[in-house]
Amino acid sequence: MSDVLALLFGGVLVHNLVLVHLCGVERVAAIAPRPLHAVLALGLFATLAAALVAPLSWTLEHLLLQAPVLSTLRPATALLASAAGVGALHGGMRLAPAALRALWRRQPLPAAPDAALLGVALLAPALARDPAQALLFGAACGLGLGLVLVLFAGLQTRLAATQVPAPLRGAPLALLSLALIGLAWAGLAGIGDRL
Amino acid sequence: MTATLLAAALLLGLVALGLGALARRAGADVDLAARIDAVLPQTQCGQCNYPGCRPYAEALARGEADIDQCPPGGDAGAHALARLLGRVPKPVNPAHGTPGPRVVALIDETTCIGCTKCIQACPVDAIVGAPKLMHTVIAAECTGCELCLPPCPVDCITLVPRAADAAAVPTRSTA
Repeated sequence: MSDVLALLFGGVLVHNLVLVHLCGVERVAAIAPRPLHAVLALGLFATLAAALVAPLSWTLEHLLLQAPVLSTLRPATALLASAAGVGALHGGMRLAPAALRALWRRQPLPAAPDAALLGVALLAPALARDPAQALLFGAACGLGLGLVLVLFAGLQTRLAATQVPAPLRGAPLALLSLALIGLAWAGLAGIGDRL
Repeated sequence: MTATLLAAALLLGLVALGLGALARRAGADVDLAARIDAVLPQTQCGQCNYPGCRPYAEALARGEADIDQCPPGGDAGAHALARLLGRVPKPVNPAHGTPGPRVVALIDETTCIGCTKCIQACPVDAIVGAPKLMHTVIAAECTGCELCLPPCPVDCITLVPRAADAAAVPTRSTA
């Protein structure tokens, strides 16, 4: 049970993809102010993708990369796993019910795997002990990404209504605020490691 | 391992439930354009840079237009749009025009030469007349959009404040 909690807590907060491992910063910093339900959909789709990528990557890692000399291939298998996960999600959405498909058309994930999913593919084999744990950890990572997306879409909505000095408008302020939140997030480091 | 799998299944089940709820909500948003259209003043004036109120409503529903593009609606209209769409309220952008009191077009019938140009310009068919015959405005239908002013070759159309007894906001026919 404490394993489950540690994986959940670890995936969502302690090993937060964006704020701790700096994966997917470009997606979060570029997010436009949009209504909450749109960002929630984006976060949940990202969760599905991450839950597909993580066990795939874990399996590839433990089937192929057991010999020490092969570990240099890890980026390649991670890329393969994340591409396969996104591809599976894109394929699966074609078979989804019409309402879900309409939602997906409005908030699709990019067809190519982004840094966030690559981060999941690299983290899951390192932190999970079996495929089930990888699945749980992947889903938790996706939820963590969704959390930051919601946080930032809200922040951008507020910023759109304020007067920001011209040199800071847009990406600079997004990166600065991301860095500050990331610093605060560092206080969570290590929690759950000894659960 | 079983507990982990169970927890993962539970978590993904919750994700699926959330997506289902969002999908239902998105399905309900098919008529979002109609609800936005109901808030707009229906002047069909085109000051928002869209051909009329409904196209602007559809652009808003798609998230392409901003809520501050409708001068006839005024700041109150922009505020109503912000509430409906869950966006941050803001006043009307002066680039699109300044909000003012509701007006109605009035044709000076002694000057009118019957050229029919204003009839073609009127987006709501509120001007009646025929070639070389005097035109007149149906005040109850006129939205005060000012689109008939530029085409008039003899400048016989003026805008007068809408009479208090006339409908404050033109209502759309139920068709």
